[in-house]
Amino acid sequence: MGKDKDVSVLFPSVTSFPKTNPTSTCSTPGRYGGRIDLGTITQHNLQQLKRLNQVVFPVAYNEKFYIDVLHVGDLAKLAYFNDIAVGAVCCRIDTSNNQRRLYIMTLGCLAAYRNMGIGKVMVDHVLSLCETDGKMDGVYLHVQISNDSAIEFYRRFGFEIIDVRENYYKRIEPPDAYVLQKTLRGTPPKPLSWPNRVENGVDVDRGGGVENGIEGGIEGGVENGNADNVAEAPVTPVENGLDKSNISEQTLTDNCVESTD
Amino acid sequence: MSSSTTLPTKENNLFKRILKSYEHKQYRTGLKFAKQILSNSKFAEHGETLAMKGLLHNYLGQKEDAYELVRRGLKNDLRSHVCWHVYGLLQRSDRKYDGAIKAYHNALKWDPDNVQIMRDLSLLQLQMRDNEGYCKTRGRLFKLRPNNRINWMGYIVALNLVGRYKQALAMLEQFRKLQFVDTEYEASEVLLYQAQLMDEAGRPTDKVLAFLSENQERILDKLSFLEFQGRLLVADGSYQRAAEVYNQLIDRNPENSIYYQGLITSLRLTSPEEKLALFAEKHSRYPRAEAPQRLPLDIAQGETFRTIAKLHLKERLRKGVPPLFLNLKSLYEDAEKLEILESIILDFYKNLCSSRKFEQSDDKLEPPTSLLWTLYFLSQHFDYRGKMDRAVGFINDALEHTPTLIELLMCKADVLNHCGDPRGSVRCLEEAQALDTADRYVNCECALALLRDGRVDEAGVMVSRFTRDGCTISSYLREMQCMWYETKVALTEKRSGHLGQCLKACHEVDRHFVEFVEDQFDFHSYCVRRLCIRPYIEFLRETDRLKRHPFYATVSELAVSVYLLLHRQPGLRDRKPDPTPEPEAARKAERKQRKAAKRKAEAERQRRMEEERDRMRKEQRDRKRAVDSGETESDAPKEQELDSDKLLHTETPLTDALRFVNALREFNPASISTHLLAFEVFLELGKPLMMLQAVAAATRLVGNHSGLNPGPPDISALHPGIHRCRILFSHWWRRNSDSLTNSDVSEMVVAIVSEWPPPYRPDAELTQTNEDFLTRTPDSLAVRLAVARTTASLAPESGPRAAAALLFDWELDKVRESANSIIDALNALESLENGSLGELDPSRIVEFKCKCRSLFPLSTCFNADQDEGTDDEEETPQTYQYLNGDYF
Repeated sequence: MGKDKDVSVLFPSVTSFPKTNPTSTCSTPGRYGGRIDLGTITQHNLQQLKRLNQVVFPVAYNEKFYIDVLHVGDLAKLAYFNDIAVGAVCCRIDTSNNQRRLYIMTLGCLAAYRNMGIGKVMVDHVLSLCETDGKMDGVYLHVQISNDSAIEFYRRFGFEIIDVRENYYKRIEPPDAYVLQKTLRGTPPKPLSWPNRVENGVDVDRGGGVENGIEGGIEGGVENGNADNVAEAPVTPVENGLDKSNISEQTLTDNCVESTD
Repeated sequence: MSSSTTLPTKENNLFKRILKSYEHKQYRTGLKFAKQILSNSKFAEHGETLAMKGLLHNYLGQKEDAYELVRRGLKNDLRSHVCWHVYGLLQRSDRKYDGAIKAYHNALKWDPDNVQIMRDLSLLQLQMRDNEGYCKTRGRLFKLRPNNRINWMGYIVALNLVGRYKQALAMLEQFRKLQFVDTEYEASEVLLYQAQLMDEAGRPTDKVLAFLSENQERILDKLSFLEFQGRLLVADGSYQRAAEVYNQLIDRNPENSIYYQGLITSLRLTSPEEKLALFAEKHSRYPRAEAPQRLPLDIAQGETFRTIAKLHLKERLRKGVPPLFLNLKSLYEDAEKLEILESIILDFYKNLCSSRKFEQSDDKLEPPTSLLWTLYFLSQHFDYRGKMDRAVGFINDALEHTPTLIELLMCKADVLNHCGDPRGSVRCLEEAQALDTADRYVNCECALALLRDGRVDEAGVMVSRFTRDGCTISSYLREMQCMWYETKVALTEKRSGHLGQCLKACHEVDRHFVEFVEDQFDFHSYCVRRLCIRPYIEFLRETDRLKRHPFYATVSELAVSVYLLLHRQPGLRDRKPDPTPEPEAARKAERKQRKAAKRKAEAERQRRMEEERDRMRKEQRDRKRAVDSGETESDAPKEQELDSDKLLHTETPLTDALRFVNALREFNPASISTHLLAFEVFLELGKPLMMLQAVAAATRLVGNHSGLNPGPPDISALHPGIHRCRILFSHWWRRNSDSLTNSDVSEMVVAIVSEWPPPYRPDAELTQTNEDFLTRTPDSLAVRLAVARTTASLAPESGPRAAAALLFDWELDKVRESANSIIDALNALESLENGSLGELDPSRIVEFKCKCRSLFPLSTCFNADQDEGTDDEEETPQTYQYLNGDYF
């Protein structure tokens, strides 16, 4: 580290300022008078992403995950609440099945900051990326089948369950995952029905949020991952399809219950 | 030319060309001409040419040749002003200013009206603060060349410095009439200077005010004008106008608290209510200004304070103001305010946890960050109060809540450090700095923590992440005059027993201060030329006070105490840096040491590589420069790299210490340790009157316990340092008074000492006095240490064991209750380890550490093995298990 020759190490205050300034984009008002911003991930604040993932997800992501994240531009963002990094979203572009889709690898935020609207800001960001791109067929992710609040959260953005992957997760129970997708172009696959719990309005208890947050997070096993996952990350099972989500959702879920009813 | 030997035309022309080359810094060319003259056997010993040749050599870095040539030249032509002038220049370039001044005076003897020499002389006189001499030289220059405005202003400044205000003002008045100024701004500065001079000269305030008003239009520096005017109006009693001025100033800058004080004085507000009303008004007018919100907290009391403080805290906790605690810390000196603040913040905490509001009556819910900043504040609050378990608890809660906030980790590092856990402190800061590697402040804090933990090499690696490429860490830090670092290195090295390294760091800092004083030189001519006289005069006065700086005081004290150690225990010089590990921990320690050594070796290897690379680059650069210009020049005398070994093996530790002692006495007379250290040095030098002077000065500082009041002296109230000094003095006097030949001294000593309480006089049972002192204040570690050191000094042969025993014979509970700081304990430990209490069995040191551990249960710095438990653990970042529902 000390021998890093990158100029930004020598003059970090100059080169890193515009990159790390969380308020460089327009703040979104969050709940309770908080401000929400998205900020770029750089080598200087990468550790914040690691720390967040460590706390929010029960899984350790490998070094390659973090190296890649530095080079995907807007596909990876830190979320700031009142100027403090409290969440992050990391995506990549997936071209399997002759489709061009955005795959949400992780999306999460610290438990204390859930229900502030941070998750919505991140999903909105992802959707606006697709819109700007114009050639995306859809956005998809994996979610543990027991993670009701996450499922409900994505449902409100127009995601559908298009598949179930059995034994997608290696070390957590239950090991099965839903594939959630929001189709943007073309014919959407025929959606499976929502789990009853969610459909019926859900009793996601508050304490459960964390549980969901963590378990929901989960990575995908390589075995289950699709071909490009394997190609990209042959080494670790952890690395590919992590979908995490759940995040701020749990009160969003509450809200949603009210509004959708 | 008064020179005895004059050259014929041809050689004379050559000589002129030498001078020209010198002025243009073409030193090698100059040497060629000199050679041409000297090769003529008739002029081979021509003094002025030899002298010039020497000067040229000097600038090419050949010091020895230079001195030899110049001296030879001078000997050959003692009546030449050129030779003397050259001799002066040569010495000046070596910073031998006294010699240079003498040489210039000699030069002027042979050429009294030489303006160039006079100018050089005047600069040196000012640099040496020979103000009278400066004034005289300036006066002559003025008379010789009265058409030059520099000569006018130079003389005016000189008159100002020696306090001849009347003449200075008269000249300044004349100066303005002569239309010397080029720009409106210069004119404005001269006017302000004149007003300042009038004020300094004690002219009536109304005269100065009238002068300012007359010239108001032409004074461009409105800020200085208003500040000056406001101050004068208050002094003059023109309160109404003063209030107007201060209102204007506040309007310019609503954050300057001095303006508010000025306004309060001008409005003659006395009651807190009036003042608070004023601040309320200012706050509504400048809603974003912090000062009108913060200052009322200083004034308000009781319930008013509670109301204001609540609002103040609430807004800032909601907004997230990291230095909030720091901004309020000064209020903590007031015990009542401390209690109020504590109750407010604990209330906030309770309410936030239960209902997400600061107060039940609030109408809106708070964002999660409000709780976060409240926890942060709570931790700092309890840290301040010394309730370390609560401080640790709150900061851990905060980190569980939000593990990504760097301020929290820095706060935890502070808390752990105060607990005596420097290693834990380092871990926090390492994590903090990893979270934002672009933050140099955090990087520096981390380096500081490493130093506190005694890891000098690693600290260097840490700061090097921000240093320039191709430069060793130490040379970079030296060049940047990075004194916070060097001071801390000095402290650390002394604690670790690396006395040579400590001295080296102390001397580095000392050199910076020499450098600061040197740096004035260029300003003497520049400021006068540019007519920025007001700041210049202030700059001169400030430079004279520079060594009051805490950095200088710290390294001076360290240097003196190290020199004392070296004098008293010459054996320390050859002591191995790492003391032998304690038997029971030996095996473990060995492993740790190997590891540490490996780490060290790696750092060292890296450093060497860097130094090597640095050197090669520099050589390359030098070669390149030499080729480019055909010259190499050295403007400042090359400082020799400080050698810690050489410093350590000084033959004259006391003389070396004396320099620092004198600086301390001059610049830090208000610090008691100045006088206590001075006493020790004078004791070793055997100077009774100086010893007594030091004791008296220290006594004055801590209040009078000298026993002048009749009645039984309460020796337990005596400062332990003064206790030691008096005993040691009387002890010394008993053994040495007979050998004193000067009876005046004896009489004075007897007169002074007879005013001390009887137990401290030379005829008393000093050992008993010392022991009594302990029995009366048995629970203070500082007292114990002072008594132990005194015992060791009184009876060096049998003392050590007894002395050491004093450090162990505590009743833990009682000691715990009295206010003992970790610093006291560390000082005691250091004395045990460096052998100043006599050689001890290592097991006793371990025993002492154990006692300290039970005294400071959260500490790790007294672990038997310093490396305990940290190296083995892979540095896994702790995972903060997040628990939802804890707070909401």
